[in-house]
Amino acid sequence: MIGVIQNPFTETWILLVLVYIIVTISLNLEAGFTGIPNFGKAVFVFMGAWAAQGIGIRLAAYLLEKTDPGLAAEALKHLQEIGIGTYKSLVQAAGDTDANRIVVTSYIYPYFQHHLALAALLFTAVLAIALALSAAMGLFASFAAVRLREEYLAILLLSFSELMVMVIFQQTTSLNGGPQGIWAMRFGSNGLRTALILAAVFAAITFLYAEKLANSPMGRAMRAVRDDEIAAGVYGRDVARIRLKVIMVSSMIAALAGLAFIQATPSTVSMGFDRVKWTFFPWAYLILGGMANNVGAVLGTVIFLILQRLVQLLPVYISGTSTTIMTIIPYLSNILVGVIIILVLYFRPQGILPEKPSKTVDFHRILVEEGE
Amino acid sequence: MAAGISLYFLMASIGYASALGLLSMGLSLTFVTTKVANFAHGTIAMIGGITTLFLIDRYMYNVKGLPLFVTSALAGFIIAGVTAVVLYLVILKPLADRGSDVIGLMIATFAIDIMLQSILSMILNLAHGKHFPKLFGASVQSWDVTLNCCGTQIAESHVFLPVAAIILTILFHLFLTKTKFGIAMRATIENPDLAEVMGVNTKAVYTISWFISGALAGLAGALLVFSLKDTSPNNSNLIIVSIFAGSILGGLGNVYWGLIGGFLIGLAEKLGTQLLNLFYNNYLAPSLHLPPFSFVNYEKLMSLGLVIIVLLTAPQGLAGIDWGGLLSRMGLKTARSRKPEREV
Repeated sequence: MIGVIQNPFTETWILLVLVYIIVTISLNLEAGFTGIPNFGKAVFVFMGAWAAQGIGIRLAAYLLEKTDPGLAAEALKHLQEIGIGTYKSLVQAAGDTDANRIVVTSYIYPYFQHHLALAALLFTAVLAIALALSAAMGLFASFAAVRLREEYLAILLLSFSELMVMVIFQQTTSLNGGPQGIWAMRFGSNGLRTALILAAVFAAITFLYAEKLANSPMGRAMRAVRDDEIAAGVYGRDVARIRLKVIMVSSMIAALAGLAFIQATPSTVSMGFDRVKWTFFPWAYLILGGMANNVGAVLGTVIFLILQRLVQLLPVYISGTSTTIMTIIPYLSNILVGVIIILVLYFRPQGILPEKPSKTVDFHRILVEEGE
Repeated sequence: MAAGISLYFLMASIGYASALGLLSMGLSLTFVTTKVANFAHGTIAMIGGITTLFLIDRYMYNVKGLPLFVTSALAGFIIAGVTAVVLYLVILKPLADRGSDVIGLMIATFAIDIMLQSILSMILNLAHGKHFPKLFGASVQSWDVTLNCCGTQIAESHVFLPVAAIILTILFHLFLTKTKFGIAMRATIENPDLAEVMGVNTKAVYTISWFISGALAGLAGALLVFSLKDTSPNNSNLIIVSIFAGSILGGLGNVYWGLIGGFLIGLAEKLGTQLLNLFYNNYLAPSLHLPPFSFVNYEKLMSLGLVIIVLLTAPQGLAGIDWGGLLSRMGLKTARSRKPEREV
């Protein structure tokens, strides 16, 4: 029964670690530092993916059509010949669930691999769209409740995320291919490699940015909003504005994760960004690692993903497992995460690495500078 | 009645709205007593639903018709109530006692939700085909007994839901106003510390409120499950959005207004969407030369839209609106001085 026991920590797993580090740190900025219970993280990750999927692929088709009309006409003719249908333009074909796969894999991917300048332009555009879209979504999802108690914000963000991912994008085929999905724009020949490089770069930037932000005056204002909203207001901080800012920035960071992730799995549908994977898991990682501690967020992510990987590989190591056990493994994994969350909340609510006081300028140096 | 809306659909809307009313009422109850926004409420309802279906499937050859239906729904009522109490006593209460903050409790209920869903899915997966084979064959909708009424057919659960909602609301109201324990519960909601000083056992009040909340959810789920397309526990993912919408519309802190809020959200989702659909496709689209569009799949967006409107205009919900003042301003009622403040 046991085949060759392969290395459990493959490149796909490393990609998951990097992507989840980005999402967990962005959640840490909201939940850890500012006290915003964002239960709708999934939709913001999905927005980054959608920028490459629904918008990016159409943009790529448009660029191809403008720069090489001959190839575009050839692609449309090819589609007609093999009996998929007639399309007015390549953009329409790229967004259609039937034609998308052929157009993308035989024409768009090879074309952009040979025109690197164009690919760079497209990547910049997709990145900008992902950031702008996600920030706008964050603003729209939370503006109604930033002035109210945390419960309202949590409920609104959860509802918004569920409805976006499970209703709007699931039912509207023209946006994202609906339940069948369409292929996303992929930059570079090896999707997994591209995703790994992007995720590593994004994760590094995110970590450095979050550390910088946490120790800045803005970071202290965020902690003040979390610890005592009224006191922060009395000292002249606009609580609603700080919350909105943090939600928008964190949403943009989460979109980076989606953009990197979709490179490795370009055909993921909106239902792939469900709330268990992309909202609940980051929360679990953050709670285990330690709220308001970026190193803790990274640590929690790594520990949890190792655990989940081991549970996932359980049937490989136990001989004679039946298909029944295989089907319940994902559920066991979810139950394990739930139990760990509750145990951590009970026995060590501050997480493995507790929050540290923010680094401020040395008091003596301030005195010296004031004295000059 | 507007053209294009059948009696069956109307009854289905009212049934769904009644179920949402019960669910929102239960959610508001635990929120006002223990200050926990329970994200697992939808899954607790699914527990009631799946229990009911399981019992009907098991005993359908021994007991026939109505008695089985009622007994199964009652079993769903009790099992969901017990589940809620166990969750409160085993997980939420210890966390609250250790000083967990609002976000900590919310994430705990979130974790409970996912664990319950996983456990239910696991049981259904393992039992598939062995223990309750009938359950997975046809659509769950066909399990509902149809009644012949007024020349058309209506589903039994659609009649039971409003009736059960009305009876349970009256019973709950009598419980809150006439019994000693109900009065103690109201006192605890108003001021827990003072109630405790006066000798009210607040711990018992909290436990009972979780039982009532879970049991109401279980009954609503037991009847609502017949309107769903399948028995998957993931159904609760979307129901929870509507439940919270109902509670927020009701003010998130008032049990009766929670019931009304849930009912209105349910009507808006089913009937409102259908009316919008008819209005757009029959009048607006032809006259403005717009393409026809079906709103039916987007019914859940109604609740999100209503929640955003409520949060922006009246964050206290329906409970926070000064109805007497509103009516007198509109000229519907003679102006009257506000009720004098109660003497302390």
